[in-house]
Parts: sequence; C-alpha cells; structure tokens
Amino acid sequence: MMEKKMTAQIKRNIQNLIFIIVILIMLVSPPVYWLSLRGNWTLDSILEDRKLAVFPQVSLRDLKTAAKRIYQGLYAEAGEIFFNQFIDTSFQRRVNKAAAEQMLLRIPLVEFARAFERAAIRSAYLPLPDEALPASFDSGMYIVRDGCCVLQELMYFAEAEQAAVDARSANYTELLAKYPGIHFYVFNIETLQHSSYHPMAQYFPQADGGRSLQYFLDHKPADLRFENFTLGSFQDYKDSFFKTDQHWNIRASLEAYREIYELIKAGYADISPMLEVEEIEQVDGLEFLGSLARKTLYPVPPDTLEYAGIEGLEYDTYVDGVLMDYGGRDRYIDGTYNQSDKFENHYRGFYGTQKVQIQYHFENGSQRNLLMITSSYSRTIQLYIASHFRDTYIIDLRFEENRAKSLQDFIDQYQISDVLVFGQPSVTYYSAEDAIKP
Amino acid sequence: MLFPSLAFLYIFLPIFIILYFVNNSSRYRNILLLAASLFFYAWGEPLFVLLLILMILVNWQAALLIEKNRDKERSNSSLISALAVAFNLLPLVFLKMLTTAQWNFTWLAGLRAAFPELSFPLGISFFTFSAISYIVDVKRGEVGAQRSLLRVANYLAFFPKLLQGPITRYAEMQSDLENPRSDADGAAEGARRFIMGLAKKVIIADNLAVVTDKVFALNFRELPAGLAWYGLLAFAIQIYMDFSGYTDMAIGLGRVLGFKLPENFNYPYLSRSIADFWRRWHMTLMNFFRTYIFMPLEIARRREKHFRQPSNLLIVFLATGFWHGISPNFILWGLYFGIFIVLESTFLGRWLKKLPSFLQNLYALLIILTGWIFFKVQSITDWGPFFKALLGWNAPSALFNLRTLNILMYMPLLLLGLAASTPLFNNIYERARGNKYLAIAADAMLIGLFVLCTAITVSGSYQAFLYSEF
Repeated sequence: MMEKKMTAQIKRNIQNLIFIIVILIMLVSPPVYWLSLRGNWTLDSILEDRKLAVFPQVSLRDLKTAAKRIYQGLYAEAGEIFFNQFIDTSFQRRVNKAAAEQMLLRIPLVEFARAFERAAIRSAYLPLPDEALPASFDSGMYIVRDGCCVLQELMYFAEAEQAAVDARSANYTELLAKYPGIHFYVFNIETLQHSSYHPMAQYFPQADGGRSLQYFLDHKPADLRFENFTLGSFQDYKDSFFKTDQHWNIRASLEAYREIYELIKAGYADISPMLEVEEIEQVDGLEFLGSLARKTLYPVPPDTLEYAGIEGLEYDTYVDGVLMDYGGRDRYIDGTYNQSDKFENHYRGFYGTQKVQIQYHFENGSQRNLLMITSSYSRTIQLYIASHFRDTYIIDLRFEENRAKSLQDFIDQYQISDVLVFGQPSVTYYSAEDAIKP
Repeated sequence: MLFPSLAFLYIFLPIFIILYFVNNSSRYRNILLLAASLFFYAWGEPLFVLLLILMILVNWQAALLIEKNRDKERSNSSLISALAVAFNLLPLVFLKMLTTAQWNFTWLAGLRAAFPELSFPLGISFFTFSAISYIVDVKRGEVGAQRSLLRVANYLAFFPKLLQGPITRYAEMQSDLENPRSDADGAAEGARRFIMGLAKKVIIADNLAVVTDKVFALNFRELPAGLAWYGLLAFAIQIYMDFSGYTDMAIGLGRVLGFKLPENFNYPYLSRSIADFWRRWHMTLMNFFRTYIFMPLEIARRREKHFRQPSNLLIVFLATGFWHGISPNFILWGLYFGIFIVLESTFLGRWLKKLPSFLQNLYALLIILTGWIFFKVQSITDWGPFFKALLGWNAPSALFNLRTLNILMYMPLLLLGLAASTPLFNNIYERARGNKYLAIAADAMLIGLFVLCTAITVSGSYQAFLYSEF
C-alpha cells in the first residue's frame, strides 16, 4: 500500500517536473530566439504590408552623458538625452510592441488566435439564418457562410453621411459653375458595402443599402454627367469583384469601360473609337489572397488574376513626372513574379503601385487632356480611357500633395479639358474631404 | 508591467525565474526579489516607484520606532503609528482625489490643470493597505517590527501582489519572506494556477470588455432590454474574470516563488446573501476592513446599545466605496451594499433563510447585478434610464442589437465565463487530476491555453490595412 502511494507520488513528481520544463521552454524560447537574431530583426511584413517594430536600443554612452549632465545640474538635458524615454514610458511601449511584432512563430500564433475567434463566431451564429458571419472579432468584415468570399464591412447611411453627400454635391455645383469650359464626368462603382445586396444589409437598419447613391442622385447638380456601375444582385457582386480582395475584376472593369466611354462621348463628340479587347486571359499559375483575406486571415479559396489583351497601344508613362514603365503586366504574363508568397499583393503588382501622379501620353491626334481623380479601382482600365486623350493625369486625392492643389492648379499646369471622377463612393459622391478644391 | 503583457511573460519572467532558482539562499532571493519588484513597478510607473521606495523606508523605520516605544510606560507609539498611517494614506487620498474625484473644488481644478498628465498610479491602494496593516499590527503587538529593510521592502513591493493584490498582512508572509522555498510540486501548481488566471483575463475578460464598452457607450434611453441584460451580464463576468484572473496569476506566481498568498475570491456569484457575497468577493479587502475598521469601531463603541453594529457596517461599506473611487457612484455603491447587509443582519436575513436556496441565490444575484450598474455607470442621472432599459420601459432603437453592435460573437465567451464563475471547471479539473491519463490531458490543455493566451496577445499586433498605401 505504502509502496503504491510512493509510486504514485513519484509519477506525480515526474509529471510536475515535465510540466514545469515545458512551460520554462516556452517562456525561454522567444528571448533565446531574439538573442539568436543578433539584431537581424524581421523588418517587413508582407501580410500586413508594413514595417514591423524592433526592440529599441539604449546606449551606454548616452547614459554616461546623461549622468554627467545630472552631475552638472542640467536635468532637462539629461532627460532629453536618456531618461525621458523611460519616464514617459515610450521605451516600455516600444519594447512591448516589438515583443509582439518580433515574436517567435508570430503569424502561426496570429492564425491560431483567429481560428479560436472563428470557432467562437461560428458557434454564436449557429442557430441564426444569416448568409454571412463576422470573419473575425475586430475586422468588421464578413465571410459568406459557404466560405466562398470575404466581404467588406457594411457602410451606414445616417445624418453624418447625408451631410457628407450634401457637401460633395455642393462641391460639384461649385466646380460646374466655376469651370463652364471643362467637361466633368463622374463614374461611380457601386460596392457591396453601399449596396442593398450585402447579405447582412437586411439585419442592419442603418445600413446604406443603396440609399446614399439615391440621395446623391436626387441632390446632385442636374447638369453633372454621372454614370453608375450597378450591382443587380449578390451574384452580380461575386461575378464582378475578387473574392478575397475589395477590387473588381477585369470583366467588370471592361463593362465599366464601355459605360465610361459612352459617358465621355456625351461631352466629347469626336472621341476615338472604343478599344477592342482581344480576349480575356488568366495569369498562368497565379493564385492570390487579397487584402480582405490578409486582414482577416480567413482560410478562403484564392483568387485568380485575369487580364485583357489589347494590342497596338503606343504611349509613354510618367510616374511622378519621370518617364518609366508602370505596373508589372509584362512580368506577370512572362511568369516572372513572386510566386512564393500567397499573400503577395498581386493586384498592385500587376496594375502598379499607387503613386502621387501617373501620366499617360498618347500621340493620337487628340487635343484634349484628362484629369482622372480616382483610386486603385480604376487601375484596371486607366490605360484604356487614357487612350482617347493626348495626356491623362491620374491622381488620388488621398495623397497630401494632390489634396493641397485646386483644380485651377491642374488646369493651369496641364491644360486640362476634361475631368473624370472615377471610383468607389468615397471617391465619387461621399467624403467632401476627398473632393478636389474648386 | 502587467502579467498578460508579452514583455512580462517573455522577457521579465524567464530572466527572473532563472535567476531566482540559480541560488536558493534566502538573502540572495530576497535581494533579487526586491530588485525585480522595483523594476516591475518602475516599468509602468517610473516616477511613482520613488513613492513606493519612500513608503518602504518610512514604514520600516516607523515600525521599529513603534516597537521601541510600544511597551514603555509613557509611550508615544500611538502617535507614531497614527502619523505613519496618515503618511501612508495621504498620497492615496490625494492622488485619488486628483484623478478620480468628481467634485468641482477650485484647488482641485488648479492641481489638475498643473498636472494634466497625472493618472492614478497602479497598485497604490494595495501597497498602502499592506503598509497600514503592518504598522497597525506592529502597534498592536501582533507582529514584531522587522529589522531587515529587505524583508519589509519585499512585503510591501512583492511584485506578484503589487498591482492588484491580494492584500496581505505581514504575518501571512513573514515565514515565506524569511525562507522563500519552492519545490517542483509547488512550482507546477503555481504555474497551473497562473495559466488559469491568464486564460480568465485574456480569453474571457478582455473580450467581454468589448461588449461592455459598446453597450455602456450607448444612449440608455434607446437601449433594448435584451441588450441591457447582455451588457450587464457581460460586465459582471468581465469584472470577476479580470480581477479573479489577476489574483489567480498573483497566487500562482507566489506559489512558484515559494510564497503562499491568501485567496481573494470564492465563487461570489453563488452567494445566498449580500453578506455572503462580501465573504466571497475581494476577501482580503473585506478582511482588512473587518480587522482595521469594523472591529476597532465595535470595541470603541461597545457601550452604545442602539444601532452600533449597523452604523459600523455602514461605515465599513462607505470606506469600501471610497476605496474604489472618490466619486458619487462608488460611494453610493458601497452604501447600497452596506444597507443590504444591515437589513440582512435584521429581518431580511431571517426571511431569506426561509426561502429555497435557489431563490436566495437569485436574490443575491439580482442585488449584485444592480450594484454593478452603480459601479459601471458613473453618471447617476443615467442609472434611471438603464434600469428602465432592463425592464423594457423605454423606447428601444431598432439600430441597436447584438448583430449591429457586432457583439453576438462574444456570447460563447460569456457562457464560458458564466461556467467559470461556478466550481464546474474546477471540479472537472480536480477529478482529472485523480486519473493519471486525464491529469496529463489536463496539463496538455493548460499548455494549449497558455499558447492561446500568447496567440491572442500577439494577434493584437496584427494590423493589415486595406488601403495600406496610405
């Protein structure tokens, strides 16, 4: 009996020892890993598309200098040199941040946490009929229940949004009045966020559900040329947009190109004929997980990237005023793109990175210059639209450099004859902040 | 430094643990412990660590002086102890007034304008009370004054209990301070307890905080009844999981280091009366008030025949309210519980005992939940609308529901927290410990929980932006 008890005790002791050792290994592994890096920190995160925080360093020399200053009675100077970072706890915050961002097995850990969140969400929504459920606790995004695609959060339409649309309408009124010689066109892309076809819109009384667009149509200046890329159903959305990225695909973009062409033609009678698309092809072997998948880390099927083949276009591209190639179309078609990371931003890789200004120059006999105020959505067909003008200047007003200028500045500098505002609602009829100054 | 932070878990803790177990001499361990505790506190409160050091020095000397004078015929030990208690209380009251008091005194406004960045220092309530209990216990002769500055310092600044307790009396830590010894069994049990506390805090409390923040930020006049109840329950579970989780981590860490800290919670939501609740909730605070306020008041007023005990109870709960914050809601919250305890000590207690136990539980739970409204909702004018919301007597807005606020997803965690507020998990765990295979499975699960807590904390740093080019 005694022996049995002792054996059980020994077994318990061994189990306790093993438990302690495992916990200790877990506690020690990250600092050992950090030490082993010898300052070669992971600086970039492809997934997050940003720089990662690294551990701050303190210098012994600064400490010595600061101590000297204290001895000399120069306390403020001593603080600035060394001590203030600890007193205002900015050093401590940087250490905490770096500990998270340089953590051993960081992304698998994040994925584990997201898997836990998904399990909680799925069990909470189990008894409900909702077609989509939150993709994670704090992203605000949704996943269609069958797992096919990630959806952006719903946009609301209330007093503040109404005021923003009013301000934008007033902006257009002012622009039209101030520049009667300029041809203005607005092409809006109805995104799912603002549409009544978002599967969750029915549960959110404050959801936009197409109301903001209707409100804008009711209040916009009557003489503003406006066209809309309309969603007719949720299936329409799935056919037109990527499943893991907020952007639209080439098929939807080409349909929009036709509509934009007709819109511009109303103010540009001698516009050159529409470009004929030869055929739509797929980038060989390319499967990618776009921004929505990156943000939620939801395990969704990847997207493919299709492009339209158009031959015979001759033009020059100036990126921020410098003549150069823009975008990675040729690289992708040749198959010389980064295939190792499934989260690589291939939309940007193929169509080009956002820049302050892109200029397309065509020697096509046209005497008209276009200012395209837009966002990344338009990159799929910017070139096609530009082909009908001599010079097309593409700007995004989220860049401070562009926001600082007025339309008059662009007209004076580039002899602008036409202005196309083209993009999602935040570019076209919302957000007076992102409107060009008259 | 907070226990769930990565800097604590993966920098401070491993370095400290390794250094602590390198040498088992009590002097070495006490020196290391003090250095670590001061570093731990300075990490979050780099200026107030000086106050902590000052309090250590003053209390160490005051206790020695008190003891020296205690047994003399014309003793001034009472004066010294009164001065020491006042010295300890002064920064606490001053800083609490400066940072939390909702009164419009000109001098207070002037001070706030002069120190706009000042925030209430972490842990000051806890180490102040530890210091007071030491001084009073020495004065009463219940413990001898400790000659070693190191041990007094470690009693006051012991990092596992420094920020959120439990509030200990010197006698409870004396032998451990003299001889901090830990064995593998104790360390393993401590680590298990720490992980359970970490899980309560990181997995349940921090997530439910999202729910309560969202619900309590709404206009209560438009709050639907279901949402009000959901928010209130979430807050009740959040505050319990947060506080008891932190206590579990403190007790667990103490155990790892060879210290036995007192329990602070005993399933308070299973109470059958409010008196019972305060025997189960923040037990060490109540123990402090009982020992250092209630009992002395009872003795001092022993000749008073009428309303002595009820008024003493009310004073204790008024102090409890003040301890939580110098604002009307906390003071009324304390008084509210005081009134119920007084009533229970008279007719209400007798009535309650005649009820079936589940009705007693229900009564206590309703009173506790109502109390949390006073605790959580700072503005007294908002209490009425919130009660109306609970009863469904206001005009709820269709805009607010579990879906539109995106808080339905936390329901499983609320249920998990409810289950963790009962002995259910503990009973399952204890049974598993009795079976060798289940015991291994339980340990594996704890390790998994630890990884999950780390994962959740790391996950907070993941920031992928849709429009990252800007």
